[in-house]
Amino acid sequence: MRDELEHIARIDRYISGEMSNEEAESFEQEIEGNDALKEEVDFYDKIREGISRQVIKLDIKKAQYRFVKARKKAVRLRRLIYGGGSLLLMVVAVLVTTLPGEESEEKFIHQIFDKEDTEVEEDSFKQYLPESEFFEVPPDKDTTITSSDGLKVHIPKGAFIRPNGKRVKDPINIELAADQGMDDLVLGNLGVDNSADPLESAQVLYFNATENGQALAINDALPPYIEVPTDSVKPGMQVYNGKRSKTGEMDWYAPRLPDNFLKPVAFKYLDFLPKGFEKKVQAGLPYKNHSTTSRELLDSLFYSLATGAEFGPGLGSSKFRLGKSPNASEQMLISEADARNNEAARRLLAEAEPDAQFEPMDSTEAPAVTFDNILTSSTGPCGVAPQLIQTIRQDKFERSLLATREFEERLPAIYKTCDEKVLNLYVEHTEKNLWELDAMAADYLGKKEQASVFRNFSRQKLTNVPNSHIYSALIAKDFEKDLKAFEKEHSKKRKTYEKALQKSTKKAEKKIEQLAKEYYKVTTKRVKTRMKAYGFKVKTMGWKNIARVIEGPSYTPPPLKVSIAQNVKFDHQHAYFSVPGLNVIGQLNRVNANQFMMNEHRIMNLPRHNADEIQLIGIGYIGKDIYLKVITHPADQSGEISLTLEKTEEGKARQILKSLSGKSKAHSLITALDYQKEFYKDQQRRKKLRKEAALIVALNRLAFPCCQNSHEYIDTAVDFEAPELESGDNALWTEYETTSSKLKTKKGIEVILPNGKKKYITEEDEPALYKKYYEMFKNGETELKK
Amino acid sequence: MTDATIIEELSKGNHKEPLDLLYKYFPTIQKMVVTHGGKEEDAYDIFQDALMVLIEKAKTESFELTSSIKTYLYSVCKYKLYDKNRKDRSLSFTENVPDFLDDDTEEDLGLLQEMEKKFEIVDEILANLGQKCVDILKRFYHFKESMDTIANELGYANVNTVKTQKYKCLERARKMATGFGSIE
Repeated sequence: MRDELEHIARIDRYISGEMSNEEAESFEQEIEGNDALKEEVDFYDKIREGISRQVIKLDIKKAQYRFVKARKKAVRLRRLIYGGGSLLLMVVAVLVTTLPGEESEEKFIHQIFDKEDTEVEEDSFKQYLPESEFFEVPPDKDTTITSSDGLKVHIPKGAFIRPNGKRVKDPINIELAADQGMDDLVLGNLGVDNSADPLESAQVLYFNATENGQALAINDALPPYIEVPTDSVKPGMQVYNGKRSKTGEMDWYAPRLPDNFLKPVAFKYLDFLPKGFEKKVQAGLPYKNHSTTSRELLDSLFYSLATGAEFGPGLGSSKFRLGKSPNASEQMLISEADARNNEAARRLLAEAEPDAQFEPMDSTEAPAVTFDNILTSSTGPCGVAPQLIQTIRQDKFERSLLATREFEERLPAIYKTCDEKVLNLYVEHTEKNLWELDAMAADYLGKKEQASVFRNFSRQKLTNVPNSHIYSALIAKDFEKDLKAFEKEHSKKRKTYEKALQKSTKKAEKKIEQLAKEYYKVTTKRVKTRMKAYGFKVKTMGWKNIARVIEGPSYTPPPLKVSIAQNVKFDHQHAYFSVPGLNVIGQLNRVNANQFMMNEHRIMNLPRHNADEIQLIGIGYIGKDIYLKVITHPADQSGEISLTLEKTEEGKARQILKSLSGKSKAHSLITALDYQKEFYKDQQRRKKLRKEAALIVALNRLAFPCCQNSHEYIDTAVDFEAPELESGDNALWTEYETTSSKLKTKKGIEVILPNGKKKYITEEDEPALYKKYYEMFKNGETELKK
Repeated sequence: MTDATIIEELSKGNHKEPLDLLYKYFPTIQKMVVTHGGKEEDAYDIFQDALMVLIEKAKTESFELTSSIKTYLYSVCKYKLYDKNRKDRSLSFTENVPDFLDDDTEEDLGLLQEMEKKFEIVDEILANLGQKCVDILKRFYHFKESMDTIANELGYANVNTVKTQKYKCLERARKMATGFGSIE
């Protein structure tokens, strides 16, 4: 906080011109280079100017008032003179008053001594009084009338009574008149002048109620409320009662200042979000299609948070097992879905109770941890449901106690209680004064720490908004119904979203699974044809693919490390080799994101034995831009090579890659890279989902700090990790690596029949036959006698 | 008080006496408005706007009055009335625009319109900021009172409390401004 205050003080000194020239210059340079600072300085400057303009406008209006008041006095004096009265008074008036320039002295005296009837009319200003409007309202209904000027009168049922105290039965006639400006005040003699200081009038109005021509009295328990439209709210305004004499003199008296009167404020100006919510959202951007925060995004995110109530008590329909918590020594519940899809989840389960079964479990058993499938687990209800806030913030409640700055001030304390019942106290009793509601909240909280906060609020002795009874009745009538509607809508939206998410996830995963299968076939073929090209026979037991059991000499070329220079940050990068003479390509084994190796004991590195030179190819992508580098390297040399990729136009890149590729699809660099691009796209999709899920979890934890079962979020690795080295050409993105267990591989033996056809005998499918051939192989028998 | 003195006082922020003196020109202006078919109450608004222009200009260092203040105010009011006529088509103007249009006056009035538009949002923000905030900001930015004085006058515990309250008020104003979009 201190930093922020000093920062603002610095800006204030700049905009007030209090900085020295040097300091100001240095600050201006800082502003030039910083858009956010520039915006901030501009904003504070505008506020400063805006404040000054308002003060000037007020000074002008005060001067106008003084002018009109003085003018009115002169008018009255003129009327007095023309209307007759004491001769002495008139003579004095003639001597001291400034006469209208056009009146000659002779004409003036003639008028004074004229014998015509010059009696003063009872109320000579009457004809200039503002015109009234008339309305008829029923006595048994709450009604609001609006005048042609926008004046609103709220008349609750029972607002008027007959002079004898009895109930009004017939329609009530309302007469309403309001001044249209200074001229009405002056000419109608409505101005205020019984105060030492000049007063500025926002509105002078006349209000009367009759029943069949008979005057009615106001019921003090349920008075009508008049709303006066104004361009700006002026401080210090008071309500005066007025009494008009027979001669049209106004006496304004009994000003009352509404102490602790609450002023409703439009909901759009009130912040009902938990503390820090907006900042958290800001830090989590971009989110889906949003790159900036907006009221709509903040509200949408907040209202979409779940306390878990709609899933019912417990953890929904998923089954769980106890696993070890990644961050603590305690146990956490891990869902069946996560165990199926996530390697990290499986590890945690293996470390805890490897033999346990998945079962539906209650949230009280243990906190839940979730991985990708954040929607499969949920918490029990705790904290203040966002739908309550959503229901409160409707336009129709905008004049109630709930739409005030004072209530806004109490919300952080209400959130901290994590108890909806505290909020419900305020919602269900909006007819009471705010201090009474604060006291009720304190009593409900009893000995809890937060009780003292509400007691302090209660000491402020704040009351209510005008006509609170109308709005409390409206709230009582509509709130529960609206809340249920919002909860239902939220539940429906959530289910629709989950369904759509699961559908799109399933679709994407199916697609990537299919691609991986295809890629696996392509790389398998690539390895086989490469081996044929080399003419080597290699022992293959222990591979994930099925291959020929053959023997051959061992060869250990020295290691060759290839790294891609990181002068630019690539989205993804790869390294391949090509042996054009043999029309084969291969993928270098990946050590990490930008380092690759041709390992000495890996079969994939054969070309280094069987060729004099190889082409080393480095490729990187930034969006759609391709960066490429190809170098020729002697096959028998080891060491460390760094490739600095160069941006290459797509057409040219494809040409180069094609020239380095073999004839078949398996040895096409373009095909290989197309697969890598798809895998990268899928990785980005998963990364985005993870990020969005992480934000939602973070917002949940912020909004419901007391929830015992609030989600922990484990962000499994989204950056590329080195695969198992024996994968060789089958190297895929790490994420898919963890799900590649979906691909079935079988251990087996390739048998070549007399007719030349190949048969694969797998251990799983034909265990007896597999055992027989395996024993034969072990004993060195590679040919069937029969 | 001479015209030059009036301008000087206005530029320093001393408004009461100069404005009281300037209002003596109002009847002439009201007569001009009524003569051209306008309402008497319009004259009040038009004159207020003209005074606003005069005070804003008086605060700029480069302002030099080439005629009397009365003539200046009269020109500004006449142009404002003409502008209103263009929008309302309810007033009668027989003079050609160039006859009474003074380049400086038109520029000054254009400046007022620009500023009114620019500050429309600021005015709404200030109206909804709450009285506590407006009091602090008015005393600090317009009347240039020290934090000590503000704390004493408004009953705050100490200077730091006022600073913190002022910060919160400005933050609230910024949030409201975000709701409107840019206030550029």
